[in-house]
Amino acid sequence: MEVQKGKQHTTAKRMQEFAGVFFSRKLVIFGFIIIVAMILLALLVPVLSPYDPNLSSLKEVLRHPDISHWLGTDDLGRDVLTRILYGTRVSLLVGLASTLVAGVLGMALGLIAGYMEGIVDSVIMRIMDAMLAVPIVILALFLGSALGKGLGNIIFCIGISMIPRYARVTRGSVLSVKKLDYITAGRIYGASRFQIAVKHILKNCLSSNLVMMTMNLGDAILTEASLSYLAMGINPPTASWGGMVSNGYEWLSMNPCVAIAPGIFIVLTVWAFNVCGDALRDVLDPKLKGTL
Amino acid sequence: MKRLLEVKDLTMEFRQRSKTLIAANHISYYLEEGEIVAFVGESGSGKSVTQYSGLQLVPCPPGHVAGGEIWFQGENILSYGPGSEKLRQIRGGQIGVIFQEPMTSLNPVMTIGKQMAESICLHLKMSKKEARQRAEELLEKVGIPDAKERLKAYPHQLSGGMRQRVMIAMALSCNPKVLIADEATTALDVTTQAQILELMKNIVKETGTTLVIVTHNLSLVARYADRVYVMYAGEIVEAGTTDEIFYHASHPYTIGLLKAIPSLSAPREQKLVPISGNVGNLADRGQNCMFLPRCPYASKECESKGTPQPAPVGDSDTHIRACHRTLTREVLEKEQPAPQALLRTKKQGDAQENQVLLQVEDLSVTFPIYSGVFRKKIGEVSAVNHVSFQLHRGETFGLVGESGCGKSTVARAIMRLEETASGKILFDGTDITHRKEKELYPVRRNMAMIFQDPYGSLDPRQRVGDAVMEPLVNFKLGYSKKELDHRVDELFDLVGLDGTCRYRLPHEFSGGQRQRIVIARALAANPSMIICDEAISALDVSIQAQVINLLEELKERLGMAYLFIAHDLSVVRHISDRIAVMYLGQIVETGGWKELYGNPRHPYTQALLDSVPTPNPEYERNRSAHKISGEVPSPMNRPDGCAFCTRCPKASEKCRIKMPAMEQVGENHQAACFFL
Amino acid sequence: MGRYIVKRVAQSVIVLLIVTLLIFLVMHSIPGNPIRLYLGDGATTEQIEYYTEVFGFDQPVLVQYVKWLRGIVTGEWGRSICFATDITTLLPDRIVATLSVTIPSLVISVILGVLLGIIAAVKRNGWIDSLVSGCANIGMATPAFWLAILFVYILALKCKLLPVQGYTPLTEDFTLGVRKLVMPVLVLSLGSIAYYARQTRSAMLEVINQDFIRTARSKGLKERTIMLVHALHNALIPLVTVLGMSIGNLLGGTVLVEQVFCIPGIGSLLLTAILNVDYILVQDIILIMSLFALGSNLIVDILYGYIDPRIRVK
Repeated sequence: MEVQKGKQHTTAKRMQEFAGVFFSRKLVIFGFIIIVAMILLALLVPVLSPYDPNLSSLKEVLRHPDISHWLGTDDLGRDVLTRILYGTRVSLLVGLASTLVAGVLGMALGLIAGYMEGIVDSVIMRIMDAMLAVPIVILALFLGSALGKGLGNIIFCIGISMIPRYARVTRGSVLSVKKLDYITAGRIYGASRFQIAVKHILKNCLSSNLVMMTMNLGDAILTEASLSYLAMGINPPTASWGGMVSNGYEWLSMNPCVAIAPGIFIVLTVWAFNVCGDALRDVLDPKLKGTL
Repeated sequence: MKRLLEVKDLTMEFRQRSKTLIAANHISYYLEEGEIVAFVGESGSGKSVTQYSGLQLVPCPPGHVAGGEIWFQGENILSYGPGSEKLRQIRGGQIGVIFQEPMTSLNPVMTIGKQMAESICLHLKMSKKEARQRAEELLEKVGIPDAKERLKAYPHQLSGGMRQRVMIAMALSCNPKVLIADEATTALDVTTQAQILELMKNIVKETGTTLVIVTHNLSLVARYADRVYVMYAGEIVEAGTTDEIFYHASHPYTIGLLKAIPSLSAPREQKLVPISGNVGNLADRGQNCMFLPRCPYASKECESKGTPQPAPVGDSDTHIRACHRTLTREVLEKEQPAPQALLRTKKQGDAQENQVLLQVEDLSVTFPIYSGVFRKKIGEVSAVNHVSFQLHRGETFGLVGESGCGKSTVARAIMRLEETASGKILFDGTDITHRKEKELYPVRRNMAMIFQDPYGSLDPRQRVGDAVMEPLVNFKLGYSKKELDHRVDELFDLVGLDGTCRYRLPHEFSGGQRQRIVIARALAANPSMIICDEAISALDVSIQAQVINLLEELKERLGMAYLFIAHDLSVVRHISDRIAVMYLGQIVETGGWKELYGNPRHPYTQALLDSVPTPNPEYERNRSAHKISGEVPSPMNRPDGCAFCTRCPKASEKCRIKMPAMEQVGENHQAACFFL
Repeated sequence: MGRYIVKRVAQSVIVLLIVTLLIFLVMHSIPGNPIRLYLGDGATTEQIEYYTEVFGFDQPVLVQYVKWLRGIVTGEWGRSICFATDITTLLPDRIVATLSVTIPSLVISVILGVLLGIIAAVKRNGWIDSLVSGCANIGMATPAFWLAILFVYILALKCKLLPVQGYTPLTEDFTLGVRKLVMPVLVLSLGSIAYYARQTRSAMLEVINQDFIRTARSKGLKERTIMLVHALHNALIPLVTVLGMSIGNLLGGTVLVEQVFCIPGIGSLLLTAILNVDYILVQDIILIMSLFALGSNLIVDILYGYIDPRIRVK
C-alpha cells in the first residue's frame, strides 16, 4: 500500500515537472489555449452558430461583416464564420488522423529497417528516399489523383506522403538505441528479439516520434488546406479552410474577408501546434533540439 | 617566490529556473611562478569551474560570478568585461588551457596548423608564415613525428593521444604564464597518460610556466605536483604541499579519499574504506559543513558551528584545512574505524583445484570491413587473437589492458554477443561457441554482465524494479507474482538499496546507485558467473570503493565467479585472484596476482605497472622516468611477429618476424616473450 | 572524394529508378480509362480499342514501364493525351517559367534565411532573436496560397503597385516580366526564409555549445571570429543537408503559387494533367520534379564533402 503511494507520488511529481517545463514560455500557454479553443469550437459550432454552413441564401450574397454575420457572407450567402468553424472540424480531423497514419506506419517501417538492418533496411530506406524525392504536396496530389477525393482518401494520402520522415527518424534512433548497453542487457537476460524491439527500443523511440507528430500536425493541416485549395481535397460544399480561401479569391475585390479570414485561422492553428511541438520537444527530448 | 595569481573569496553560481547551485563557495588560493599545483576532487566538486571562472569560460547564463577577485599581474581579471580586449589578451596569451576531451576539443573542420596559427598570429603578432613555422616547432617539441605533414592534418586523422599533444602545443604556443590542464589525461590510456604528464612536466619546468593539474585522480598528482588543493562540494577543504597532503592529511575527506583508493602497494587483505553516502545537494548548502553527513569523525560541535573556514594546520605556512575538529594523529588513531579484514575464504590454491567454470580455448574474434556502394566485404580486422584462459568456480579472474586491446570483445564473445571466428568457449562443460540464440537460454541464466556506463545499461523508461525483475520473468524461473515481489525486495536489500524505490526511473538515481541496480539485476537469476566489464571505471573514487566492496561481499555470500575486466591495474590487483594482461587482442602474460604484480615478466606488463601512479610521493620521486614510448597500433595494421614489438624496449629482429608463444615462467605464471 | 561522388551518383540513380517505378505502378492502378476520358462519352468501342493500342495501354504494365524508360533516355518522352502534342515540345517553356520563379526565390531565401539565423543565434535570447524566431514561427505556419492572395489584395488591388497575376517571359518584355514575378517570388521565399532561419539558428546553437568553441574562446579569439569562422563552418554541415532536402519542397510550393498567379509552369501543367488523367504527362512531370530534387540533393551532397573534411580525407 505504501509502495503504491510512492508510485503515485512520483507520477504526480513528474507530471508537475513536465507541466512546469512545458509551459515555461508564455507563447506556449497562448498556443495551448488556441488549440483547446479550436477543439471546443469545432465541437460546439452547431450550438454556437444559428446558421447552416451549407445552406445558400441568395439574398445575403457577399455581405460585409456586421452584427449578424461577424465575418460577412460568401458568394452563396453562407455565413463565413460558421463555415470557418465547421472547417475546423475538417482541418483537425485530417491533421490528427493523417499524422497518426504517418506516425504509426513510419515508426513501424523505421523500426523494422533499423532493427533488421541489411537488405530489408536497404529496400525500405531506398523506397523512403524515393518518396522523399517527390515534394510532399506533389506526392499527396499524385496519390489523391489515384485514389480520388473525399475525407478518408485525403487522410490516407497525406498520411502516406509523410511516412518517410518518421521512418527516417525512427530508424536513426533505433540504430543509436541498439548500441546501448541496456539492449545488450536485455539479450543477456533472456528477452526475445520481439520483446527487445517493442519493450526497449520502440518505447524509447516513442518520445521523439511523439514530438515529431505534434510538430507535423501543423504541416498536415497546411497540406490539407493546399490540396483543398487546389480543389483536390475535400469535396464542396463541405467547408474546408483551403477550399474557402480558393473560393474567396474570386470575390477578393468585393469581399476580402471571405478569402482572408479562413487563412488567419490556418496560421493560428498551425502556429499553435508548432509552438506546442517545440515545447514538447524541450520537455521530452532536449537532445533533439536542433535536429527537428 | 612571487605569487603569480591570487584568487580571493571566489563564488560561482549556476542560476537555474527554480534554484541556484553554488558551484564554488568562497574559494581562495594562489599560484606561484613555476610551480605545479594540483586541484583534486570528485565530479561536482567545482574544481573545473573554479579554473574557468577567471577566464570567463563558464557559459553565462547559467554560470555567474557572485563574488570575489582574481588578481593576476596586478589586475583583477574578473573586472574585465566579457569579450573585452584585455580578457582576450589573457586567454591564450597569458593563461593556456588544455581540456579533457581530446576528441571534441579541436575544431573538426579546420586543419591543425590553422588552428594553431590562429592564436600565434593573434598573441605573438607573427605573420602567417612565421606562425606556421612556430607551430611546426611546437609540434616537434610535444613529440609529434612528421610535424610539417601533421600541420595539414584534420583532427579526425589523429589518435586521442596525438590530439592531446596538439592541445598542449596549442596551449603553450603563446608562452603563457599559466597552463591549466583540466583532466587532460583522463580520457587517455595509462601508458599514454604517463607520457603526456611527463611531457607537460618537462616543458613547464624548462619554460618556468606554472602548471595547474585539475584531476579526480589523487594518485596521479603524487609524482608531479608541488602543492595540492583538495576540493569538495565547491569548497577547498584542504591544501598543502604534496607531502603534507599525502603523509599528513588532516581533513576527513582527504583521509577518506586516500583510503578509498586501491593502490599497488596496499595490503590486499583489507577492505577498502569507502566514503559513505553521496555528495550533498549544491543547491541546498544549509549552515553546516558540506561533508558532515559523510564524515566519520563528525562531532556535536560540527552541527552547531556552521561552515568551517580554512585555517593553518600546525605551524606550516602552506598547509591549511577547513574542519572544526583538530584531527591530530592521536585523534585519528583513536577514532579511525579499524579497516575490516577482507575474507577470502576461497584461497588461491583452492580455486585451482576447483572445477573449471569457463574455459576459453584459442578464441579469435574478427570484424568485417565493408566498402563501396554495395558494402562489399573487403577484409577483416581481428579484435581478439587466439586467447585462452580458464575461470574457476568462485574465483575472480582479472583481464587488464588498454583501450582497444580486445578485452571487452572477449567478454562479449563469451556472452555470445559477438560471433566467434575460431576457437571454443566452454561454460560449465558445455560448448556454447555456436549455440543458437534460442538454445542459449539455459546457459545465459547462469551468466550475467555488469557494464561500464551506469547511465546506458538501464532502460531510461523502465522502472528499476521491472528491470531487476526481467531476468526472473524471462528465464521462466517459475516465480509467482508475490514471490517475484519478494525476490526483488531481497535483491534490492542485497545491494544496499531500499526496496521501495523500485518504482522509480533510472534518472532519479546517482551513478553509484544505478550501478547497484545493475548488480541487483545481474544477481537476480543466481548466476554462477558475472562478467564485470569496466564496471567501476565510470564512478567517482569514493563511490568506486563502495561498489568494489559490495562486489566482494556478494561474492563472499553467494560464491559466484567474476570475470573482472578493467584498465585500472590497482583495482584489478585488489579484487582478482588471477590476472591476464592483454595487448592488441592477445594475452601477453597471465598469473596469480602475487606473481604478476610482484614479478612481472613481459615488457608490456612491466611498462604498464611502471605507468600506474601510486599515492606515494616519496616512491614516485625516486621512480625513474617511464620507458615506454609510442602508441598502440591499430588492429588494422597489426605488426607481424610480436604485437608489442613496435613499442618494446627489448625488441629485436626476431620479435618482428615471429610471434612468441606462451611459456611457463614460474608456478602459476606464464608469459609470451622471447626475453624471459 | 572521387569515390564518394561516384557512390552518391550511383545512389541517386537507384533512387530515381525507384521513384519512376513507384509512380508508374500507382498511375496504372488509377481507376478510369484515359482514352475514354479523352474521347468523351460518344466514343465507340472500336475507337477506344484503336487508341488504346496506339498509346500501348493494352500491354502489360512492366513492358509499358520499360518502354517509357527507354523513351526517357532516348528523348522520346511520349505524347500528351489532353494537349495532343509531344511532351518534349510542351515542357521547355513551362520549365523556364517555373525556374524563373524558383531560382530567384531559392537564392533570396538561402541568403536571407541563413543570415537571419546567424544573427538570431549570435544574439540569442536578445530581442533580435525573439523577433526573428517569432517571425520564423509565424512564417512557417502561413500557407503560401493564402499569403499570395493577401499580397494580391494589398499590393495589387489596394496599392496598385504590381500587376495582379500572369506571366510574361523575361525575353519578351523584361520589365513587365520582372514586375509580374515579384509577388510569386516573394510568396515562395517567405516560407523558406522562415524555415532556413530556424534551421540555421538551431544548427548554430548546437555548435556553440560544443567543446571546440570553448577551446577557441580559451585561445583569446574575437567572438566574431569564433562565430563566423569556427561555428558557422561546422553549422553548415547539418544545414547543407537540410537545404538539399528542402529544395524539393520549394518545387511543391510552386504548384500553388503558379495556380494563384496563373503562371504557366510545370506545376500548373501537372494539375491539368492530373485532372485529365493524362498518364504519361503526369509521369514525366513528376520525373522532372524528382530529377530536380535529386539533382540538387546530389550537388548538396558533393558540397557536403567539401565542407566536411571527415568525408573528404580519410
